[in-house]
Amino acid sequence: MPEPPPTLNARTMAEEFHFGRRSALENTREALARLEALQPRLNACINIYREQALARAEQIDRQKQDGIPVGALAGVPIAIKDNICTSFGRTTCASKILADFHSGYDANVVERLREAGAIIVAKTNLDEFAMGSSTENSAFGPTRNPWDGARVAGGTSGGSAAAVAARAVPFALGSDTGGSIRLPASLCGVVGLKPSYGRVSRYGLVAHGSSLDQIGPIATTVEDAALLLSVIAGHDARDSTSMNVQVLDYLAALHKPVNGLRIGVSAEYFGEGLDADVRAAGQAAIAELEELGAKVVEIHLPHMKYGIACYYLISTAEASSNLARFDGVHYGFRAARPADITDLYSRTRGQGLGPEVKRRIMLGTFALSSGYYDAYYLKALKVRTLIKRDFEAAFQKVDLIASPVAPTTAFRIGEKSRDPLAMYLADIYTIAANLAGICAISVPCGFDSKGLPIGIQLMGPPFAEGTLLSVGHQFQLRTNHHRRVPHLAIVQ
Amino acid sequence: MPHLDEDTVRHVAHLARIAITDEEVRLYSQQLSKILDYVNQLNELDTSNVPPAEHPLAASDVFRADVVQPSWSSDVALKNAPDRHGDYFRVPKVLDQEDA
Repeated sequence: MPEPPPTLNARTMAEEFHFGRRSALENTREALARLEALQPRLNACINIYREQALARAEQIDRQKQDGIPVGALAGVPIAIKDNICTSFGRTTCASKILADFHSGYDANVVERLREAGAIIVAKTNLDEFAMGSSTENSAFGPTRNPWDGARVAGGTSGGSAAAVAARAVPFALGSDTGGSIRLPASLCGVVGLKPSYGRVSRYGLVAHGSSLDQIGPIATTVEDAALLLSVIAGHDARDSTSMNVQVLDYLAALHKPVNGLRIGVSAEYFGEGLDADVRAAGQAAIAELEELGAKVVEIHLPHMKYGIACYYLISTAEASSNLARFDGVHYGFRAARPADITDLYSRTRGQGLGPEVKRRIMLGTFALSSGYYDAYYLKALKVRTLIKRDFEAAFQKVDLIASPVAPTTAFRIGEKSRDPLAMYLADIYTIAANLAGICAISVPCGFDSKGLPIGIQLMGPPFAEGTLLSVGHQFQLRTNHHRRVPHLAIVQ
Repeated sequence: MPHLDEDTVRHVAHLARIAITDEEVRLYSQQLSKILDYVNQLNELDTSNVPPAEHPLAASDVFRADVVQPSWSSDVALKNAPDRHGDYFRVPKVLDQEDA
């Protein structure tokens, strides 16, 4: 019986490269081999960029040899969700409408990764245009969970989470609009962080909900998430929503003491609808944090239950506007033999967009339309204020809030895909953080009776990523959940 | 509490410029009605004195200096063009359309 692969650690890989013990080429070859071997069973990737990655690795190795400074992630392979623009290869957003789209520019996060010397090896699978909760809405097939191939990896960053969980790459980038980093991280047993809104530039992230989207790290360890965040975070003039707030030394922050921190727990989050094993693992995690010296404080978030309704009006309204650009005129798929311009738009979008995307565009269009705007979109914006205020009040009393990430562990492929609303309810714990613009992390905290991973969510006030990372890191020093390797990661 | 009837679905699909089949009209009418029923719970809340939150964080009027900066060449801008004609994207006639 072959041994499970080792848990990769980006920080260690970066050190080994720095001290000349492993080359970028060795790391890259290994990552490519594993991604290619795992692709048929997991479908984590839309494209694996073998040639480009090897060429870049050789370049980095040469630079090092020549004494030219290389960056903090030099020699470390990384995978990137395919809704983030790269100037090489394709950026498909897992959609037919962009199946052959070649971006003319790199996203800001990609520029930063390149400068840091990281090696991009693949663009990973997602729900089309980041709309979904399972990575079943991809035009290129679902991504399977490395813990059970009949189950979903979660979404929408399922490909990135699966690639990391399967130990093919030490870390990856995902994006989070309503939970799309944290949910797949939880279901795949890895760490996923949604930074505060405005912490990471959205320039080059194909927009889903412009007031909700953030790019963030997915890794096996909180330490690696901190390392990746320190590279991608920062102001970018090309994203007018990017905040000019100083970037903390996230690696140094890992060692901040947990002792004395106040952790808020709300009955609304641990109420009904939560799977028993998930509740037990969450409560055990909170007990562990108390052992570390944190103090649990009861809080109330009375508007939390309206989060899904609020989100599915705001995000769909924003999406209907953002996706209007996919019209067959400038790029992407265009329907054949259009009768006139209207026919060009309508048939291009009808044929090129998947059912969930169409559903959401229509919902958003309706919510913004004349006669319904006040009752739906404007109403949702007001409820958003109430949700924000709940968090502001809570953060007067506590430093962090702990909650489950998802009501269940990974469900079966096909189980929820026929009922859109059932799928939406998977976001129930993650969604509020996007509405409020706060930061949130999912950290592995246990397994259910079927051996499926469970995550604990920690939420913090805007720009308090340092606190999330320090608590998460110290939790990982005392627990082993993140070290377990899924059996589907084992390659002959 | 409008049920999203099939006429409304067709109207919305037209606003969104998405061609949908009759089958899709039926399916979306059903699915979207169910979702709208769910989101109607927001009406339980009195928001008469609550301002709308268009942005998660406070930031406004983020401008840059009005200075010309380098941009893309036509080749880059047109590299994915489905139908390129010189430096143009070619599309069916737009003018003389009732409702383009």
